[in-house]
Amino acid sequence: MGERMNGYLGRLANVNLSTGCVREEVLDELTARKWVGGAGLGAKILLEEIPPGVEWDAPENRLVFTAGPLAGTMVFGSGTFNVATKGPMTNLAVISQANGYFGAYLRLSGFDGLVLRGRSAEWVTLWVHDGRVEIRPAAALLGLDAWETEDALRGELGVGERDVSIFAIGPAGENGVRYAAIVGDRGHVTSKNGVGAVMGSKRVKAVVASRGAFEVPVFDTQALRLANLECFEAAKAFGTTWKWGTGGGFSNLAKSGALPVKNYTTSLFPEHESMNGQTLRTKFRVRSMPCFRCAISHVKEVTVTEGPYAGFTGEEPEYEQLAAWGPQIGNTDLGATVLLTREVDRLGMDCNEASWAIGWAMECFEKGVFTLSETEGLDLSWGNVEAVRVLLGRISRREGFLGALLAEGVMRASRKVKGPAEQWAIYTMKGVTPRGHDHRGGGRWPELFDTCVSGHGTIQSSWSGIHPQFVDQPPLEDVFDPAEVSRVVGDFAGYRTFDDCLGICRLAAPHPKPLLACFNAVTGWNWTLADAREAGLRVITALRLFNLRHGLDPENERPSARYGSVPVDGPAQGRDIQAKWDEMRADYYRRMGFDPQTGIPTAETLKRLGLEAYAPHAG
Amino acid sequence: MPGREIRVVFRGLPSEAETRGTELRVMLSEGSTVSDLLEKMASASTGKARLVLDPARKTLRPEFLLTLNGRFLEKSRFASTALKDGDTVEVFPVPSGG
Repeated sequence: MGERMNGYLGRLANVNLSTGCVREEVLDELTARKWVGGAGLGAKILLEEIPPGVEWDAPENRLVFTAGPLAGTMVFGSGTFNVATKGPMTNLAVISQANGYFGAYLRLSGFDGLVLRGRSAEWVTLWVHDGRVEIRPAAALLGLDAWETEDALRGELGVGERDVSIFAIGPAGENGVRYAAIVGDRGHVTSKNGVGAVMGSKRVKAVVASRGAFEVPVFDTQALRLANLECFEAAKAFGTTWKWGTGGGFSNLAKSGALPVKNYTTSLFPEHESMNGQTLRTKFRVRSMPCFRCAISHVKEVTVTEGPYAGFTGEEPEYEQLAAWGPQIGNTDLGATVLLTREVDRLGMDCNEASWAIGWAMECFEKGVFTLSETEGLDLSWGNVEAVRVLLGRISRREGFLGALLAEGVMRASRKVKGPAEQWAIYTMKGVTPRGHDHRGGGRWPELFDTCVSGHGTIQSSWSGIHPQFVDQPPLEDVFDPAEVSRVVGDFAGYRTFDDCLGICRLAAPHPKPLLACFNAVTGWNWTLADAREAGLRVITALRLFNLRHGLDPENERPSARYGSVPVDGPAQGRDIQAKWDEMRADYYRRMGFDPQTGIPTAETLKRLGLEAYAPHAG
Repeated sequence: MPGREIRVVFRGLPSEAETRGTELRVMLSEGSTVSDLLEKMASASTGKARLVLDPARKTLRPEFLLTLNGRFLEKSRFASTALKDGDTVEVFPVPSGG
């Protein structure tokens, strides 16, 4: 091990699944200062270790689990971790986060990261504990869903609920569903761009980290305590999440035309008040299930108390799940969203892509493109919850015509069906899955644009809206002004990516300033906000370099026809985000230090960020 | 401006439930604009109004949006958009969630 470094354990575990060899690597301070951790370390490993031409399911692909310098400290919600890999939806980079406990336990077990390469001959699980990684047979776990896998592994290891953190794939990951997720700690998900499919391709059923005895060295404990309380106060003042969960914003999204309703065929959802977080927490029985050291504790377990699913207990649907299994499929029964949330999680799939795919199939059924013949007897009328439940199972097993078709994701499915239905699918032209909104609605244009130009499979600058005023930049005054949209997405870029390097949950620390104070208290590096942004921009630029090497065509940094269409009704009726798309994209590229036409980072940008060695022309 | 009065509905001052907000019926003189309405609301200067209205600029704070009869209205059009009897103006936060 190298010299003690505040904020880091200073070690990565590198596992070659093909040989069964586990090698320890030093994480030195120079590397830590350049890439920070979390998303940054993931981006570095992708860029340096995966050459062009390697497909997502090749043994040469990497699957990288990284925590960050705040993970496992006293900071509330510091159990978050990142997964970085080349993903099957885009065949480009993905970095996806999950909350829960794993990020903290990985560090308490002695590592800042876990890097998987190769492909195991047999199915295995990896158990990280006491400063080492143990590879264990997993044949007995095959076919189990993600929750059953957790239960079986706890029994096998003889440990209690919070002694270990387990993240597993379900049937979807085993069967190569392109949007398979990695699910753990009973309801937490790292879900974007098929990270679970990559894990399945490596024949890893689960990763386990123990609540070990390693300690994260902290530079100034008292300063950290104060900064953490500032984060907490900021979290309580940020929207209504602390009180009503992420579903607390559901009705405001409805009023702004930003709920996804029936695959964007309408922007009206008058039933929103019966489906929001306020109703959910008022009517259903709720039990807190906090993440690692989290005082916000927005994660709950709920028991449905009325309607056809009364008595059913599952994890509380986050906003994304409420949207996916409510308006997007035409369902107005709140209890059913709890049922389908549990279903998609235990099968191990991204709820966003699953609901875009199923909503598209329902529109195809409504318009006669699919009949009972193609659906093999399933009545896919809007709101038929039981049909959706059956279809989710079929997708996870790639069963039948429709199950196999939708397992490819909505972009590929629609291109296979062709005809008018091809125009109804919601995706970015890179294949990235939008989150669960109608981004054409008010206040969400930055997120639509950000989703399309992002380098890692989900939003990059925005999160729960965009907040330039947090860093003393001018606010977004006109949410439908294309020039304003590219300005805020470009000028705010970097701040949220820096957050993604730290190993924290943004819901517990939404404001960049107290979060930076936490970072400085842990590391003692005394960074400014400008330093933090520069680190974030380095990660974004590194991912762009990776993606350009792996075939990114900047022409594909735009929405699909339906995703970027003009709303036919609702508050944003008639608003067209695509009218000035090319100007927006060129302006964003300029602000990022990329060539405005090609999107390639300029030599000056690479030099400023210390990325000259990775320049496209440097080979 | 002289002339008859119009009555508009103003919704959206945050309430405890933080969903519907408070609904107020506001009397304005004929020809009043959205800016006039917001200025009147800001001048009322209640604690709730200060959450959504900027008393110095007498308009919405940047983190809020406004719809007129269910359709978005840009801030740049507040001063030129006249209100009619029976109009409904709603303000709400730039939506978070997810």
